[in-house]
Amino acid sequence: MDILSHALGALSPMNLGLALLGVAAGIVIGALPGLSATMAVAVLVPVTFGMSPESALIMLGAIYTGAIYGGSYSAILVNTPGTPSAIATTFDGFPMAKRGDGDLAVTLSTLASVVGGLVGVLALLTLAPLLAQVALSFGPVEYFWLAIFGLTLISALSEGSTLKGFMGAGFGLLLSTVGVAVVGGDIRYTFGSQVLLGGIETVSALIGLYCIPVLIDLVATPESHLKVSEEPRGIRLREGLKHAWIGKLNLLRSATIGTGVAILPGAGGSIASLVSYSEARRAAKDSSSFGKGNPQGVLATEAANNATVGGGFIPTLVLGIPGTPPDAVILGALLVQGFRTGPELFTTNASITYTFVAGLFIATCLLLPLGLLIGRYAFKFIITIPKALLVPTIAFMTVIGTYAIRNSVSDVIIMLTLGVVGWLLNRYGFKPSPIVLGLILGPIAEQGFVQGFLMGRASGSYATMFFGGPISLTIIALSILSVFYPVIKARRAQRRHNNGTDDPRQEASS
Amino acid sequence: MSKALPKLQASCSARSEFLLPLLFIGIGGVCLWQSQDMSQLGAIFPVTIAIVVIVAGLLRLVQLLVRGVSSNTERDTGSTPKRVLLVVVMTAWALVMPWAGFLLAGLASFVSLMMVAQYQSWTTRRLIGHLVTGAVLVAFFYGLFALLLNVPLPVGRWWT
Repeated sequence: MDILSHALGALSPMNLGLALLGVAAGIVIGALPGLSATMAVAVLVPVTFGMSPESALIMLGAIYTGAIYGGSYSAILVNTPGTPSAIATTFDGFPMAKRGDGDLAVTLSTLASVVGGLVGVLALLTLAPLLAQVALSFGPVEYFWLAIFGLTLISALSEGSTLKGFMGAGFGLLLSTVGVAVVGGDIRYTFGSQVLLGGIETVSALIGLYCIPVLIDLVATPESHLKVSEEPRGIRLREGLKHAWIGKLNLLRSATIGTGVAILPGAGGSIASLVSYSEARRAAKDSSSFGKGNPQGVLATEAANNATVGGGFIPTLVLGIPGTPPDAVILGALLVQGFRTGPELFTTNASITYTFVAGLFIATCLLLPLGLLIGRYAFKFIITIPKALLVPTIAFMTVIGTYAIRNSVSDVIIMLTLGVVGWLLNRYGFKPSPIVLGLILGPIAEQGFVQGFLMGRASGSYATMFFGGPISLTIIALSILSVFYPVIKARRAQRRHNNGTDDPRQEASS
Repeated sequence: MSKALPKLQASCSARSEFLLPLLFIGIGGVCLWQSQDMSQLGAIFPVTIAIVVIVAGLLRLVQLLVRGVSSNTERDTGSTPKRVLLVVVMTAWALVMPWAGFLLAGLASFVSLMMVAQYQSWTTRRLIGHLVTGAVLVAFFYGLFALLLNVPLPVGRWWT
């Protein structure tokens, strides 16, 4: 009853207005390549200092929810994930848009984000203290294996050859080591250049590797980059709901995975969406259609990445350990407002905490009308804008977005260089996702690996350190399974084919 | 009873399918070579990853040799000069921006990229329409980043 009365505090006109504004601002910022959810929250934190603690937290939560969802727009419409957690959305979202189903993909992404967000919020409300304990059982070695699991998943999921995926992921990991070492402080692979001392900025690399190849191919041909339907079809909500109903298990499973992964600090939405995408593909009857515009792929990734919003707040609020980078910014705002994280947030400060959780719930619900409305216009804008305007507009966003991260022209040059390298590699069958994920997960993997190495040296057994824990062994087993599952599946299909059922010959496992 | 595996399909030419793993092996080799100057803690991770990259590259070469590879004859084509022009304009934009300032460099690059991406013939109406839209977009992004988000965009060393 107390929870209900606290939650009703979020329903004041002021708080509702702030949630609406926050979601809309978050969607727009998240949709622009280069402006991540972290940046959206960080930039708008000072705006909330003059507000009451409840209103401030509701607005920040709404911005975060909107930004994570907004990242799917650019992933679907221009093959550039607005935020790293939308990487896997490009796999099926962009092929859908290319064949003229971009409007449906945006609607699916909205529906999935709402379901995922609600599951995350529900977990935050009911299971927070219990789930937070799970996060504490992960040590550096477990984080190392988790990062490797993410990379094996993306290598195996990449269209074409798994070995190319591994080479790409390795290249991304090597790029992440450029600059000053996370442990030890060595200066590595800078070749004497001052510019490379600060390392390769992840978001610049993400923009370069995804956006520049799209631009290079856009100017090369006169045809429109997305197929345009001849008759207006609106937001295709009924069709979207039908797909969501068919994929209801996929939605719930992905949202649960998203919540589960988000409670592990640092793992974030990119791993969550990849794991759920992999699970959706594994469980599907027509797994070969994934990566070619399967609506279930969009549902899986978007449900997972929005579930990370609520899930990420679990360790943030209960343990004071931010689950994701935007959580770290919100944690800072919490401290400024005079909070102390920990169990007392659910007792002494219960009124504010439950109002905040209710605010997140409302913000997630607001995603539905706002997302469908903004999505419709975003899609119309992208398909009706002539190429002579679309190319400079996207180019403008890439340059200003990259520059804004560290106010550095060098980052723009690095972004362009990586873009050209990414285009060349893409042409030869190396997809950008493993490279980008390698770059994102590199520091987590290295820190875990080096700390594990030091602990192994101190304890006298590297093997026990890296292969001794049950969590590590489980993640290793999952990683091995993710690599060999396509081979096993292809073999089984081959056997069926030999028995005269269907054609299994595919290069998925090569 | 096992049948012979089908040939692998190259993404581009069959020769490039062999060259790319060699390139990655080379990158791995350079990283290993460079790691000689690092401390043990600094080197252990990149060395491990470089070895993984080299092994993956070698395995790919073995796979290509064992199964054989056929060229992709249906690969996308398009205007290479336009592609090169796009990269040149964007690079020039980034290099000129600190000197000419964000607004001037942005406007000039916007117009140049518009020309590069245009395939239809220019009419006066189309040209004016595109230029006005371009100016509005540049102003919008300038307002969003410089005024709202307080990003210190370069004013231009030539003007200060």
